[in-house]
Parts: sequence; structure tokens; C-alpha cells
Amino acid sequence: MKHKKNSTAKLNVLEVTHLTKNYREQKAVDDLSFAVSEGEILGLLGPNGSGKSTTINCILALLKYQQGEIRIFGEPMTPASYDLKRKIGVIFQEVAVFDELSVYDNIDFFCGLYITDAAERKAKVEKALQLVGLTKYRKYLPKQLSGGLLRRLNIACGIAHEPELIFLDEPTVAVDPQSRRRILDNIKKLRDQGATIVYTSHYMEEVEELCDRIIILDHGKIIASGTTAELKQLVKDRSVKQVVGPTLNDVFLELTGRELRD
Amino acid sequence: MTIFKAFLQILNRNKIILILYSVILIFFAIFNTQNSDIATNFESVKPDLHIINHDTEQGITGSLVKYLGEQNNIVELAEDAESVDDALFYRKVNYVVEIPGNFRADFLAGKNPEITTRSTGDYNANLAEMSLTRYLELAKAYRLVDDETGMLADLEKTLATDVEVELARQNPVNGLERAVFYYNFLNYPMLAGGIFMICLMLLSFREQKVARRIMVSSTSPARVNRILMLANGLFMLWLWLIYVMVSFVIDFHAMLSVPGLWLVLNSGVFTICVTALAFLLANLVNNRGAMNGIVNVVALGSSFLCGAFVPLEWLPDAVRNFAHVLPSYWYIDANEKIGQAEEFSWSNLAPILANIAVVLGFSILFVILTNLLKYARRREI
Ligand SMILES: Nc1ncnc2c1ncn2[C@@H]1O[C@H](COP(=O)(O)OP(=O)(O)O)[C@@H](O)[C@H]1O
Ligand SMILES: [Mg+2]
Repeated sequence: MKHKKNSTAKLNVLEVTHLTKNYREQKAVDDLSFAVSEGEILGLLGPNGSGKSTTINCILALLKYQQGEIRIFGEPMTPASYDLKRKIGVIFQEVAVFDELSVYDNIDFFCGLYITDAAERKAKVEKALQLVGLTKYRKYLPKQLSGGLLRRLNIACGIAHEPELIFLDEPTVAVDPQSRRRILDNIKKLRDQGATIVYTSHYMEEVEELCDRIIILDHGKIIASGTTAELKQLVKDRSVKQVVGPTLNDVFLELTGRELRD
Repeated sequence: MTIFKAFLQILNRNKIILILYSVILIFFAIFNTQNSDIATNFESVKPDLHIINHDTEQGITGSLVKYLGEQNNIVELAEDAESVDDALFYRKVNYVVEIPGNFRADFLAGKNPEITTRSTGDYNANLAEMSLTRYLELAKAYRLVDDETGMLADLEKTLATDVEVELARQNPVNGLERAVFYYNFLNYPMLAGGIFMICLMLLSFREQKVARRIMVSSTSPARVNRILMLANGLFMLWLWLIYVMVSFVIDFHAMLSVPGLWLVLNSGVFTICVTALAFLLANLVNNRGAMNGIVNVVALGSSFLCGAFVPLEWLPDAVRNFAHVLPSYWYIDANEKIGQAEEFSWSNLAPILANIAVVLGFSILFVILTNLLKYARRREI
């Protein structure tokens, strides 16, 4: 498997150095530095308000930031980096589709923002429909879809143009267990197709299952990072009392003194 | 282009609103047509008049009788009081004029001999009375400066030109008047449809979540915006052309005339103004509820205040004065002026062009306000 290879030999698809973002007085992201290498799934784990969405929005040049540098495929990311943006796919926390457009037309519209050739786009839209399992629902309007199906449509709209780097911001919030399972499987499929993925969540089980590497955020700062095993090892080393194998929640509790999902 | 495609699909999903506004317009246009057909009958507009003439002389008396005969339908009745009463009661006549025996002699002597009149008091009776008064007032004026022969010659000349005006004013309950009504009413569906669609489109594309998706894509938001503006512009052009086509279908002859084409031009400029206003409003509203409210307030409000549904003259002065601050007022007023102009000489055209210029001025104002608003918003972030 790709992600098992030695990551230092690889190109860093995304590099964030010393990113700092304040909303007026409040620090939302505080001197954040990390890199993501090709084919990797990076998990950004943290409770609500820890700065995950703000980090993603800064990387995508949707937000101005006070300090730091962001490079994607080795190039600086700016609002006008349209060549870079062509290789990026984003799935935001909230479902963002047109109420008046059918499932197919929604995917077609967002894909059309990247791909102008009609025949090429048609093939990609079909592929995306298949990936998220919405082929049967192509003619449905968003309001006729259940919450889980809507989430899948939201994902299809973000990845139909087959991006090399994908950002998913809490795609499973308020989703029923079956749909969540399906979404996680979809993300694995995307990874298997060669995409590099940045995934945010406040559910540790998801991140544990999905991600090659995890960064734990709190108050806009990295409080720990590494593979799941490394993070668990960290807790074992610090806490002798631990008898049963620790979970990521224990890691979080150990480092901050409070529960992850509060 | 998928942006155009999405635009058309959103349009298609909301077409029922446009159809509704248009059906209201066409319904009232046709309803009004039938109304005015009754009035179109020229004979019925000419009042029925009975003259009792006790003066045996000709001269001014003969001239008066002749003029009254031209302006009204002369009805012969038996000379007794009872049949005159009956005729008035049953509206066989609208107006009865009784000329005293010494009329010519007294009038030329500088006196004002009394002409007895009786009236049914309705619209036609008023018309008949107007013709009598006009003749007498003019005659009195000329009496000061001329003898009888000169006076009659002058009178005849003045009244002859007067007759044309009079005919033109009585005649026009025709295709053109109907067209003016149609174009006045157009104020409503044009404003409602235009504002609704443009606001809906811009709201859909600028909605925070969708807009973010556009911003992270490899198409620049400026380009998406340009295409949207173009699509909205084309939509308004299309809407205008449809409404113009309908007016030609309703009355081809009235429209294919100089005033008809001025109506088309005037509505074209108004369409530009509606487009500019809609873009401004789309920048002010941020949800569909507010949008529906604004559509109703602006379209219905300005239609009532500016005389799109009822003639401006029926509205109180205060309302009419206030209406001057709305572009619809100038558009509708221009329609009225086009309908009333007998010929398109410079003196008639100037006020019409002035109105059109005011509507264009409003359009420019709206464009400036929209840009100021955008500028202010950008600085806020
Ligand atoms: N537009 C904003 N204005 C001011 N503060 C904000 C804004 N967006 C987020 N924040 C604050 O920044 C911090 C990080 O928020 P966010 O990035 O949304 O966290 P997460 O996505 O991890 O839940 C929070 O404390 C939040 O209140
Ligand atoms: Mg968030």
C-alpha cells in the first residue's frame, strides 16, 4: 500500500509553516506547522472550536491570515492560484448545493467549474455518481434526499473533477451510521485512487480507522501528532496507571485534562 | 457553459411565477380591450342635442346653430314642453338649447342675451355644454375687435382647428389607448418578474455555501459573476421582447405606428432601469423571504402609486407628487404623453424624451449605488 512507504522520500503535497490566524482579539490558529505527503490521509482531530475549519479555510486562501506560509505542490497558494485550485477538491462542513438543480446537474455544475470539456465532464460525473452510490437518484432534487444521501451528494460535488488533493471538513457530522460507513469507505476509495487527503473530525474512532497520521488540535495549537500507534505510545509512556490499551480520547484527556467530545 | 445551464434550470423551476405575472397582464389588457370597444363607437360619444330657436335672423344665430349641429347629433322634437321633458327623461337628448328671439340683435349690441339650457347632467350633456360655451366665449372675444362679418370669419377659422382637436380627443379610444394601458400595466409584471428572477439567481449563486465552492474552484469568481450578469441581462432582454411581442399580437396596427414604436422604445429603457434596480435590490436582500417581500412592495407599490393600474389623474395630488421619486412614474407618464401626442413634432417629443432621460438617470443612479454598496461591503471584511 502506498501510504506504508517511507514518506520522507516523497514530495510534500501540502506544507503549512507558522500559520497564525486571529479573529480580532481571538487566536483561532496559533503558529501551526505541518506537512502532508503524497498519498497520505492526514487527520486533524480536535473538539469544536479548536480551529480545524479555520485552518482549512486559510489553506484554501478563503481567509487572510496574519502570519505563515502555505505551499501546495511546492507553490504558494493565493486566491488567484487557479492552476493549483484545479488539482484541489473541497467538501465543506455544510451541504452546499443548488436546491433547484437535480443530483446530476448539481455535480455537473460544480464539476463544470473545473472541467469545460462536456464529454470529459460527463464521464467524470458518472464516475462520481457511482462512487458515492447515487446513480439511482440522479434525477432527484436535493430536498427529496435523506440527510445521508445529501451528504454523499455534497461529497460527489467536491470530488467529481478527480482532484489530487482533497479536503474534507467534518463530512460525517449528524449522519446516520450506515451513511457514515459509506462515506468512510468512499474516502478510502479516493485514497486508493491516489488522492492525498486532509480530513477533519472530532470523532476519534473515525480518525483512528482512516488516517495514516493524526494531528491533535486544541485552541489552534498542535498538542500532539503522529500515527495512532505513536500517540498511544505517548500516553503509555506518560501514564503508568494505564492497564488497558488507551484510545485517542485518553490521549486527549491526558494532554489537556478534559474530554475530546465536550 | 454549465453556469448558463444552471441559470436556465433555476429559471425553469421558477417559471410559474413569471407565467402568473404575465397572465395577469394579458388578462387585464384583453379585459380593458372589451371595455374600450364600447367607447370606441364614435357616434355614441357625440351628444344628442335639441335646439329651440326663437330667433328668425341668420348671422351669428345661424352660425351658432350650424356649429352646434357639427359638434352634436341634432335631434328633432315636437315643439311642446312635454315632449322635451320626455326626451330628456328618456335620454333621447342629452342637452336642450333655447335661443331667445332677439339673440342676434342683443348680442351685436354688446349685451349677453340669455340662452336657456336644460341638461341630463351626464357626460354627454357636459360635452354639449362645452361646445356651446366655447362658441359663446370665443364670439364675445371677437365681438370686441371686429364687426359681425369679420367676427364670424375669425370664429369659423378658430373653431375649424378646434374641431380637429375635438375629434382627435373623442376618437382615440382605439388601439393606441389600449396599447398605452398595456404598457402602463407592464410596469407591474416587468418589475415583479425582473426583480424576482435576478434576486433569486444572485441569491442562489452568492449563497455563502455555494459561493465558497465557487471560490475554491479553478474558475475565478469574477468570471462567474460576469457570466451571471450577462445571463441576467439576456433574460431581461428576452422578457422585454416577449412582452413587446404580446402587445403586437393584441393590436398589430396600433403598435406598428409612430406612437406604438415610441411605446416600445420607452419600455425598453424602462427594462434597463428595472435590471439596474434588481441588481441593487439583490445586493440588499440576503434571503428568499426578504426577496418576496421586496418584490411585492416595489412592484405593487410603484404600480399603485404611479398609475399603472388606474389613471394618474385619479390619484390624490400628494400621491402623484410623491410618485415623482419613482422611475415608474416617469415611464408611465411618458406612455401617457405618447398616447396624447397628435403628431411627433419636436415640441411633443421633447417632454417624452425628457421622461426617458429621467428613467435612464435612475438606471445610472442604481448602478452607482450598487457599486458603492459592494465597495462598502468589501471594506467591512
Ligand atoms: N468568522 C469568525 N469570526 C470570529 N471568530 C470565529 C469565526 N469563525 C470561527 N471563529 C472562532 O475561531 C475558533 C476556531 O473555529 P473553527 O475553526 O470553526 O473551529 P472547528 O472547525 O475546529 O470547530 C473558534 O473559537 C471560533 O469561535
Ligand atoms: Mg469546523
